[in-house]
Amino acid sequence: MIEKYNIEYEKVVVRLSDLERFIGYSGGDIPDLFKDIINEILADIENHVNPTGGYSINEASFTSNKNEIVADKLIFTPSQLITARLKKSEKIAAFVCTIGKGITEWANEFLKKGDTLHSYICDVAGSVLVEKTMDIIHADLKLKMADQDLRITNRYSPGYCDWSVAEQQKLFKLLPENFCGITLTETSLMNPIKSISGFIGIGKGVKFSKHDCELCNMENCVYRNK
Amino acid sequence: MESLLNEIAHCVEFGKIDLKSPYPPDMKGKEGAAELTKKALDEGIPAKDILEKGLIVGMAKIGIKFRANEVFVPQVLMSAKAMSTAMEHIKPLFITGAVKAKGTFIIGTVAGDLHDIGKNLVSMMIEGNGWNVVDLGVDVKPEKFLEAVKENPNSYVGLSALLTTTMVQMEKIVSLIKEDHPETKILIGGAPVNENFKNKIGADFYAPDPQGAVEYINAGAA
Ligand code: B12
Repeated sequence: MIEKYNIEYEKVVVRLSDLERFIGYSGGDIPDLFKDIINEILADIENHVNPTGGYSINEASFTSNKNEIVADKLIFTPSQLITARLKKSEKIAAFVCTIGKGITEWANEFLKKGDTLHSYICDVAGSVLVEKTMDIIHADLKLKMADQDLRITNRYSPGYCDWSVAEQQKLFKLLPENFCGITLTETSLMNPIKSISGFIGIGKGVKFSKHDCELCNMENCVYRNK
Repeated sequence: MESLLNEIAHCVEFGKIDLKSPYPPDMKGKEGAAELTKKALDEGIPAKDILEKGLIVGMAKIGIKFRANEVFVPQVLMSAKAMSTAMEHIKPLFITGAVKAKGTFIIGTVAGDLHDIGKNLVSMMIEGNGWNVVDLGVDVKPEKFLEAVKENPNSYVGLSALLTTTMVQMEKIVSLIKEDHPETKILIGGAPVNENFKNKIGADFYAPDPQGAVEYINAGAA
């Protein structure tokens, strides 16, 4: 089963506070000039993004190897850490999400003019926006599954928690070609740049964990729950 | 003279570009790196001193603060902007030989990878520390690095990669360059790269931040 979402920007909306945290300023100590630039970018960002995403839902099973998950007959090895969290899944949603290439083009326009600050803010806003877009899709999947008395897990991405980025090659096989306009290079880089991918487990016995960051040892990660 | 150079260093450290720049708030309405550099030149202070005892000092200070997480990327960008705006006055003097770059640093994001923010920061910091930077951009093939080394003898090379799938390119680039130019020093960086990986592929230096790279090449140039 494939589900695709085109999400209006008003439904996502990046706020000043989202960016402050990402850039490093928290607690409102951000200088006015940076605040002004952020507000300027956020006022216009809508015209440079196209938030889309989606997933396929696949039958899941597990082998005796603690690292492995089988989704639609393809064997994935997302590391023991992640496999343990997905263990009770009956199904796996393979997702991708992007906000399109417009934002990167916009950032590059600023860069060409020598305006590194606007370019940087654009870039960061894009990173935040793609995650927030996926939050909406994630929440919708949760609702849809709840209708069938199923629960879902957090999302896990190749390249995190010892799951090799290269496994994106297989992940993309679980989705239609060019799904949401995202393509994968040989080096497992997604185009557009502001894109993410991963798995969400689905099943009666799985759980969503609030403190999943404890799994990971990236102390300085900007996404870390404090 | 000294106080003027200190003021220039201060402007760069705190990202005060010019008179009209509203940043930083406590220096609003004051002259910035651009005007003060011009003033220093008009007063007959040698360009070399303005660069080495003013501009570069400010850049080094911001680099150290960034490494210590005391300032964030936007502040570094403001400093780099203050530096480059002031450099517009100094650059013509490079042609006359009154000032010289410390050397050449070639940098690029390796083939298969498009991440450029980290690379750009390194590039700005190194340039701001008095080096001539040749930025090859992103998705740079090994041969292109080699070509740049040939065109710029005695240069340093910096490689950036953000994914574990693309950092493997670094090994190819290092061996390709070292085959013909074993004396070329190669620095690597980017989120997934570390000291072990540097040793494994035979690169010369790994730095988690731009300042580390600056200190390494400055030591080599001294
Ligand atoms: C923001 C971000 C994103 C954003 C935007 C990415 C973008 N390119 O625009 C989004 C959300 C879209 C994203 C997506 C993904 N990401 Co991401 N992302 C990050 C994050 C949090 C910050 C990157 C960044 O902009 N840093 C800011 C700049 C300034 O830092 P920097 O580039 O590292 O550069 C600094 C230093 O490294 C150093 N440096 C850099 N180059 C050089 C060179 C030399 C010579 C020297 C000396 C120093 C040096 O100096 C710079 C300044 O200090 C990092 C984690 C992290 N903390 O780094 C992960 C990270 C890069 N992502 C990662 C991954 C895995 C992904 C995905 C594959 C996940 C997925 N499956 O969806 C995708 C891939 C996207 C794609 N297009 O293919 C991994 C990559 C490692 C790996 N396992 O391969 C990281 C490292 C997180 C992790 N797991 O540890 N990501």
